[in-house]
Amino acid sequence: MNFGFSHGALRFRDEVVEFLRDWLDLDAFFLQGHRWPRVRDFFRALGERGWLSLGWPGEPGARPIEFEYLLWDEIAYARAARNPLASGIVAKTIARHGDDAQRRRWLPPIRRGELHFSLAYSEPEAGSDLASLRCRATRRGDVYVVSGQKCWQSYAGDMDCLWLLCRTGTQESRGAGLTLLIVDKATRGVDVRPLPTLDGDRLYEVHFHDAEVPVSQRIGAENGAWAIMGTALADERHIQFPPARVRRDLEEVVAWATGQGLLGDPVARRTLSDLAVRVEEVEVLALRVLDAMQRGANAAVAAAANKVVHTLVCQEIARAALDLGGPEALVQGTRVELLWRQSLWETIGGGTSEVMRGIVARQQLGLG
Amino acid sequence: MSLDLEPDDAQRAIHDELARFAAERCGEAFLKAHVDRFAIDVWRELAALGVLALATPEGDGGAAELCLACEALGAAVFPGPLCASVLAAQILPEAERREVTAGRAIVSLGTPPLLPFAPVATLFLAQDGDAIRLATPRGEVAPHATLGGEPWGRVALDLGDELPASERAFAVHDVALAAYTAAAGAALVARAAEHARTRRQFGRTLGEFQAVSHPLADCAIRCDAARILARAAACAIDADEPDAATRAASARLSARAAALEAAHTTHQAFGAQGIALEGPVFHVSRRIRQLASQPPGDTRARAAVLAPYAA
Repeated sequence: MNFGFSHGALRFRDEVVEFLRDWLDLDAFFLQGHRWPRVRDFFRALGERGWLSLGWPGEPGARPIEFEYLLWDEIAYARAARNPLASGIVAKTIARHGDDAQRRRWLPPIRRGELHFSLAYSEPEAGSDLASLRCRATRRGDVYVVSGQKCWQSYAGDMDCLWLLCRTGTQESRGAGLTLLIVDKATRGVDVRPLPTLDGDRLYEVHFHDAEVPVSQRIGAENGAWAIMGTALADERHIQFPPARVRRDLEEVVAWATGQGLLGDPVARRTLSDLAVRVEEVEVLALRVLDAMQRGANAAVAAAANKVVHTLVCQEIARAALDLGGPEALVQGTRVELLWRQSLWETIGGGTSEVMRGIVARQQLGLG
Repeated sequence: MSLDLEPDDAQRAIHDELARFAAERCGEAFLKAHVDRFAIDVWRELAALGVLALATPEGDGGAAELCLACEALGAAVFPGPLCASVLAAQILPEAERREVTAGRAIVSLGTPPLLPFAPVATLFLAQDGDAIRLATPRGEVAPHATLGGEPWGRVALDLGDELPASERAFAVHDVALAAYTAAAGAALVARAAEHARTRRQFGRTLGEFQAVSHPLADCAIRCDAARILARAAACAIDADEPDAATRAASARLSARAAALEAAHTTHQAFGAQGIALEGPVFHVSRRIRQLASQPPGDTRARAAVLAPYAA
C-alpha cells in the first residue's frame, strides 16, 4: 500500500503551485461567468505549458493520470477555475473517436486553451434520464438539421462551441439512437438564453431552430454516441471532483468562524472536527478513483461514491457555517453565504446523488 | 513509488489467515453463546498468531499489517480487549509488553471505577486526564453486564506511574480501532444487502426499493472510506510521517460514525428480524456501540483532526 504520489508527480505539483502564484486573485472556481475573459487567459497560460493535454490519449506529451489529478486538485485549491470541458471530455473523445481531419481541426486550438465548449446534453424532459432526450438532428445531404431545446448548460454564454447530444434514431431507440455533434455557437438557428441561478451565476438554455450542422462535425458514428460518452466519462473521473476544493471550503469556514470568535464554543469545535473528518473521507475516496483508473479497473462505483460524498460534504460545510455563524453568515457577498448558495448545485449537476447511490447500490451491493 | 491502495500479498495473507481463524474459532453461534464472558483460550490463540505484537519491536509487521489484521477481526467482531491491548503494547516497558502480546496479561483500560474486562483483567491501565498510568485494583471487582456483551466491572484503582504514551502509541491504537470498527460496519452492510437481495415484499425484492437500497449504499460508502483512511493512517505511521496522528484520529472518528450508521441502518433494513435478540444484527451492533463509547474517548482525536485548520 502506498498513499503518496511518484517523485515526478510531486515535482510537477510543486511546479503547478509555483505557476498558480500569479493567479491567486482569479477566484473563478465559483462564478466563472463573472470572470470569463481572465479565465480564458488562464486556460491559455495552461495551454502554453502543455498542461491542458496532459492526459489526452495518444498525445506525445501525455503523462500518467496522477499528473492531471494533481494539476486540477491544486487549481481547485487555489480557487482558480474548474477543469474545462474542451480539454477534458471533448478533446479526449475527439482523440479517441474523431477522424484525422477532426483531430487536426479541433485539437490544436483546444490544446492551446483557445477554443471552449459547453456540454449540451440535458433537456427540460430529459435530465437524469438522458436516453429519453428529444432534440432531433435530421440528415439532409451534407448537413444535419437540428431542432429542439437543451437546458441547464453551464457557461454556454461564454463558450465557442456546443458539444451536442441529439437524437438521430427513433424515440424508442433511447440510447441507441443518439449522436454527438459539434455545433459552432454562431450557427444560424442557435439561440442561447441565460437562466440565472441562485449562486449569482447563470446556466443557459439553448434553442435550435433548424440549425444546420455539417456532417463533418459529427464525432463517431451516427447513433453511436452512447458508448462514446461512456468512455469519455471514464476518462474524466479522476479530475471531476478535486478534493482540495472541499479542504479549501473548510479552511475558509474555520478561518471565518475564528474571525467571528466562534472557535471557543465546544459545539462549534465538535461540528468542525466532524467536518475535518469528512474532508479526509473525501480525499481518500478521490484517491480510490485515481487508484482504480491507474489499475485499468472499472472506476464507476468508486467515482459514484466519490461524487456522493464530495458534494454532500460541500453542503455540510456550507450549512455548518450558517448554523454556527448567526446573522453575520447571512450577509450577501460573503464567502460563507456564497458557499451555501453554490453548494446546492453540486449534488445535482454531473449526475444527481440519487443516480450515484443507485450505481453503488446496484454495482457494489447487487440491489435494485 | 506511486499511489497503490491495495494491500500487498503478505498483508493480504495476514488478513486471510485471521479471517479463517475467527470464522473457525468464534463464529456467530460462539459469539452469541459467550455474551458477558471472556474466552481466554481463544484470546491466547489469537496472541499466539502474533497479532498483538504487530507494530511493536517484537512484531512480525508494522501498523499496516496490524490494520489488515484488525479488519479481519472486526468483520468477525472478534471478542476481547483488542484495542486496549494494542495501546498497552505501545506504552508498556518490554517485560510487561511481552506479557500482553503473548496473551498472558489481560488488559483493562479505562477510567475507574467502571472498567472494561475488569473481572478478568490482570493488568490495569487508568486513564487520568491525558495521561495513562499503571494501576492496582483496591478490593474486589463488582461485575457488570454491558450493552456490548463484554464482562466489565466496578473497582477502585490505586494509581501508579504515568506511562510514556507517545503520539505514535495513540495513532497505532486509533488505527486498530478504526480498522476493526469499519470492518464490523461493512460486514453488517454486506449481510443486510444479502437480505435485501433475497427478501421479497410487494412482489419484489427489498433491494428494489430505493428507501432500502440508498441508505445501505451510503453506509457502504462510509465504511469503505473509513477502511481506506485506516490503511492510509497505518502507512503514515510506518513511514513516520508527521501527519500520522491526525490521519489515525480521522480514521478512528470516521469509522466510529460509519459503523454506528451501519448498525442503525441495518437494524432497520432487517425489519422485525433486526430487533430479535438472536437475530443477524445485534451481536455486531452491540459491539460497535460499545467500542464507540469506551475509553480512551474521542477528545484527543477531535483536537488532532482540527489542529491543521486552526494553525
